[in-house]
Amino acid sequence: MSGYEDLRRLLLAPEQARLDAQDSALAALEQAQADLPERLPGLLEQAGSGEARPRLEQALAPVVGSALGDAVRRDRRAIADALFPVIGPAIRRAVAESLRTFVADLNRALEWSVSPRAWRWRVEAWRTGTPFAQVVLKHTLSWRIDHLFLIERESGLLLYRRSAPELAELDADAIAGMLTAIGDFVRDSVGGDEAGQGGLASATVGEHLLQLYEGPAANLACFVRGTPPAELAERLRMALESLHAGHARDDDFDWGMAAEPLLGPVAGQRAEAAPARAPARWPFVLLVLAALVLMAGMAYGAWQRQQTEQRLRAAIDAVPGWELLALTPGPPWRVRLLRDPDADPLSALAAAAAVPAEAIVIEERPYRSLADLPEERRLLRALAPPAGVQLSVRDRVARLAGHADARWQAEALATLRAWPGLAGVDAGALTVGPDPLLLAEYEALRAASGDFVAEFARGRAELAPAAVDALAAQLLRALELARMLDRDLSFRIVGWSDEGGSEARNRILREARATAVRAALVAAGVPAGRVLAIVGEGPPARRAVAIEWVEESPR
Amino acid sequence: MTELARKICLLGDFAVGKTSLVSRFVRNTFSEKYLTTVGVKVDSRALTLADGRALKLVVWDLAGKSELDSMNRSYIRGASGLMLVADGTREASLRAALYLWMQTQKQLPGVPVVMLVNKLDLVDRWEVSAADLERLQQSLPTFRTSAMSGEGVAEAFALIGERVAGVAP
Repeated sequence: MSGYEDLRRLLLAPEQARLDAQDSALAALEQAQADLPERLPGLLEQAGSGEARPRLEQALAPVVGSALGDAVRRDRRAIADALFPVIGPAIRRAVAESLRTFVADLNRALEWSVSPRAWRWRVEAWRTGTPFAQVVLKHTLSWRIDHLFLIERESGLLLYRRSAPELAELDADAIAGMLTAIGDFVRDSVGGDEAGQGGLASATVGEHLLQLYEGPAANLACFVRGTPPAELAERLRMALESLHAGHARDDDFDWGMAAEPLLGPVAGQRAEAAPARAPARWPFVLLVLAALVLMAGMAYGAWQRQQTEQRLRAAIDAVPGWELLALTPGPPWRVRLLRDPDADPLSALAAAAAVPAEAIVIEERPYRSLADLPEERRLLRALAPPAGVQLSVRDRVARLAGHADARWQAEALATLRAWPGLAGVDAGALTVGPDPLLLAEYEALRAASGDFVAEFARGRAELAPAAVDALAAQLLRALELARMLDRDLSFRIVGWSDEGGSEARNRILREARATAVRAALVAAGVPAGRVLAIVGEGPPARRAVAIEWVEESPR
Repeated sequence: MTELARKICLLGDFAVGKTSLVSRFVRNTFSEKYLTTVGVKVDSRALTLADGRALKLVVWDLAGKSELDSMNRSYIRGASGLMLVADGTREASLRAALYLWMQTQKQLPGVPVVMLVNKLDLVDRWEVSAADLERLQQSLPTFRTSAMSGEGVAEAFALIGERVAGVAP
């Protein structure tokens, strides 16, 4: 064997030497890297404080980010637990900010309050520098903690408990368990995440409030009666965070021992509102009276409106040719109606309904009514009946009465029979020819005025101022009757003298007398074209003038 | 709390008598309606251990099911012991109880377990044979119980109490 070893050494000596050298180098390298874990923190500190820091950050950023993301995916709860002490204060700050906003809003809402008590609280708020709403809450809220349970999150076992001494004993262990079960049930029902976030936070039954505060290892359940202040929640959260901080430091953490100094003082907190004074009755009586007055006023207003509406409707119904479409109570009262152009004008409505004109707004639409009055007005305008003819419409029947000539009567009857909307025409009281009464009066006047009138002094042509007044009235009436009887009437004033004097002088005198009477008649209103002064021809007669009627009858 | 307290869960198939067993033994704070709504009812029972210590057993009575769902897995979290309940007149319920136990193994490895075979008052109609019970007894403590008479119930609770408190092996 020794020969073989010698031979082998001789053949492989260079190779062996090189391998030995590489072994030594490898051993030296491993020795150099063996203390790397010890030196790594120092190396990182050195790199982080020097110029190489940006490069180091750049190199580590993707690795750290990826590792953190992977850690969150693998064990979300551990990350949540680790962040719990950090997230808690941040959330509290956000909640406190929200509460401040809420208090500010409430403060504004209460600004209107002007009761003496509110003013006292305002003074207190001003004196103490606290928001008014906080002072109101302080004086009005009544609350107390009935039970405070610290419950192990995992098992639902009770870790610590404080209850108000006056309350009946209860199975706190079972309640803690059921609370945990219900919390799990709610979280599972609403799809809470694995880290246990998003579970039941509070529940309210009547005046009882259950508030639940969750921690990584233990939850806090607080049964409160009444409305607790926001500070209570703040204190409970802080206590829970302190407990978890202690739990994280101590493996043999005694929750009960640790909880007593933190939660004991909180559990004893309560606030009783100042005993309510017997409420004064006068505000209620005043309120009732005000309500009664208001109701009476409203009833009177409604009654007035009803009356006005009835008057308006009656006034509109009373006028033929007005048709009410809509009436909107006011004021202003809005009246929408149809009005026949031949009906009464709408300006009469306000007075007829006893409503101020400015309180009515009228919207008018034209239409043709078949009511008697507008129809009668339309027919009068269309037929223009002569004097002595009466035209009326009653129950949609046109009635003609009096005397008219045959031509007008024929035209009128033709028009009436063709008139739309008329139910009939009654012309039984219409006679053809002049009115006999008018004719008799006419003839009587002719007879009366045919005598000599206006006596004159001898050789004179002057008249007394009122000498022809009666004559002028007769002639004017005669002219009116002639028009009604359709006759063309004029007068001749014939001047006369007695037999004394020369013929030439008498002629002059006769003309002067006729002229004087004509002038007096014209001055009295007789149309000048209807009187002609002429000289009487013939033997002497009287110192007067005569009236001669000149007519062409019938035209 | 310095008082010793442990959480135990009652598991078993539908209508094996879990709730009747519990109602004879515990304080009965809550109505049974929670079983059909929330799926669990929690009660407590105070025990005195053999070494003289007081133990509060917080009993979670889970609604009868042949399989654990996610809700039940939430409810058994943190349990120190299990009580499996079967109906002696239904052999299938015994297998269901054992299957439920198997499903808890990953979440609750090594926790003390006792088996209660209920309805001893109807023993003449039992499907579960005495031989099966003997074999079962070798694997886990098994009690024949009657919710009607209360027979065997206190003993079962006493044993699970001793075991979760670490008094009994």
